[in-house]
Amino acid sequence: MRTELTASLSPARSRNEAYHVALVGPTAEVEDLQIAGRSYRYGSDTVVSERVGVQGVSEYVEGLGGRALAAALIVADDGSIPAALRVLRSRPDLARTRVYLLSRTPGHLQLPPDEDPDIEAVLDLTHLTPGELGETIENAVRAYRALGTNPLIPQYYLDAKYNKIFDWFETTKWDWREVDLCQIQRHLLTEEEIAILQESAIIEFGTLPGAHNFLREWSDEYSFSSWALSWGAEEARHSLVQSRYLREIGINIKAKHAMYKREPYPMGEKRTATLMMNIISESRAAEYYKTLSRLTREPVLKKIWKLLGRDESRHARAFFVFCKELCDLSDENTAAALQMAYVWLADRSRGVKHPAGFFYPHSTSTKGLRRMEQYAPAMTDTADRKVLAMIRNILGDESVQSVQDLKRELRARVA
Amino acid sequence: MNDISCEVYRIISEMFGVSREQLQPELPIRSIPNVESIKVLNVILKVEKLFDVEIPDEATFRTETIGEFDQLVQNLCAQRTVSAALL
Repeated sequence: MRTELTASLSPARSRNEAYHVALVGPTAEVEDLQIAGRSYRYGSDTVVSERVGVQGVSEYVEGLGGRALAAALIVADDGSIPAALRVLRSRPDLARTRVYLLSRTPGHLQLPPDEDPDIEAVLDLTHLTPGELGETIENAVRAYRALGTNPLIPQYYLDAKYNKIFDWFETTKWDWREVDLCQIQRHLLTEEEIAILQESAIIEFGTLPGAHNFLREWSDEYSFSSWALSWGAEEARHSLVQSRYLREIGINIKAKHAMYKREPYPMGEKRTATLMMNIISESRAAEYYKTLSRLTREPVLKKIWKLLGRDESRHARAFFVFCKELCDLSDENTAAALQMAYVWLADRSRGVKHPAGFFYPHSTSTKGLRRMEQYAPAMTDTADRKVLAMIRNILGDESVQSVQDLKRELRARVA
Repeated sequence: MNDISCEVYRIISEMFGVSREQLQPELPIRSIPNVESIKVLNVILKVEKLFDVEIPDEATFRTETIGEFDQLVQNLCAQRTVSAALL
C-alpha cells in the first residue's frame, strides 16, 4: 500500500506544540504508511508521526517525557490484541491517547470481552486510503484534545455527579398546575408586595447570562454543564411565573429589563469561587422567597413564593455538591471558595450582594435587592448561617461559625 | 515613607501587577488597574500575616484610598506595639 497524507496535513513549521502519533507494528507495514518520521500541520497544531517497533512501546512512551501522545495506530495482524495496546492501556497517564488498530483481516480480530482497551476503531489496512489515514489522524487529535485534562471526568458517563443529583431534581420540581392564577385575590396584596414582585421577576432575568457563563466556564466537561441546563430551565420559570402573576393583576413587565441582563458578566477565574458565589446568592434568594411567602396574605402569591424558595434552596445545595467535589481535589480550590465566601458574606457595605444586581448596575436589581433586604432584614443573616454550615462541611471544621472565623481560616492559609 | 508603608505598597503593587509609581496615596482602591474584590482580600490577608494585625471587616470594604489603607495598617501596627508593651 502506498499512501500520502491529505492536504489538510501540510508540513509543520515547529515541533514546539506537537501532538505525537505513534505508528506501532512491523517495519515493513509501518513504512508502507509513508507517514512515519514526518511532521505535519493540522490547523494550528503540529502533528509528529513516529515509527515505533513492536517491542519498543514502553521505551518510546518514556522517551516522550509527558509530551502529548494523541494517538497510536497499532498493526494487529495476527487476530489478537497486540501487546503494545496492553502497554498503553496499563498507563493511566495515557488514558487520553486514542488507539486505532490496523488489520488486514479486521473481521477476524478478537477483542476479549473482559477487557476494555478503549479502541476508537479497527481499520482495514488493505484498503486504507491516504485520505482515510489523514482523517483518522485529524480525528484522533481532535478526540484527544476534546477529552481534556479535567480530573473529574469519570470513565463512564453515568458516574458523573450530574447523574447522582438528576433524580433528586426531577422528583422535586414543581408543576405549573400547582399555580392557579385565576384564584388571585387582588385585594389581599399590598403595594409593597407588588413592588417586590416586580423587582423579583426582573432580578430573575439574570438566569440567561448566568447559564451562558456556566457553560463557558465549564467548557471542558459535561457534568456540571448538564446540571447548569437544568438549573437554567428552573430559574427561567421564576421570571415567567412572577411576570404572569403580575399580568393577571394588570402589570406588564417591560422586555427591556430582560435585555439589560443579556450581557454575560466576566467569567470567573476559579470554579469554586463561582460556585460559592452562587451558593450564597441562591441561599439568600431562598430565604427571601420563604420570608416573602410567610408574610403575604394573598394565597396564590404565597404558593408561588414558597415554590420558588424551595427551588432556590435546592439550587444552593446542588451548587454546594459541585463545589465540594472540586474542593476535595485541592487546597487551592478550597481557598478560592473561602475567599469568595468572605467577600460576599462580610461585605454588605453597599447592600447585599447578588449577581443579578452586582454585575448589572444599569438594571433596577440592586435597588430591588436592597428593598427586599430592608423589607425583612433578618433573612440575610438566616441565609448566611446556612452558607456557613456548608463551609463547615467543606472544611470538615466545626469551628467556623462566623465571617471572622472564616477570615481566620483564610489568614492561616496565606503563604 | 516608613518600612510599613513600603511593604504595604509593595504588596499592593505585586498583587495588582502595577508599578509602585502608579500607586499614589490618593488613588481610590477601586481605581487600581485590574482591581477585584478577591485581590483586595488577598492584599489584606498578606498584610495581616506580615504585620500580625487584624483588619476589621468593616474597614476591609470601606477604606476608600490606598493612603487610607496604609494609614489603617500603620495604626493597627502602632496599637499592636502598645499592647505588647503593656503585657
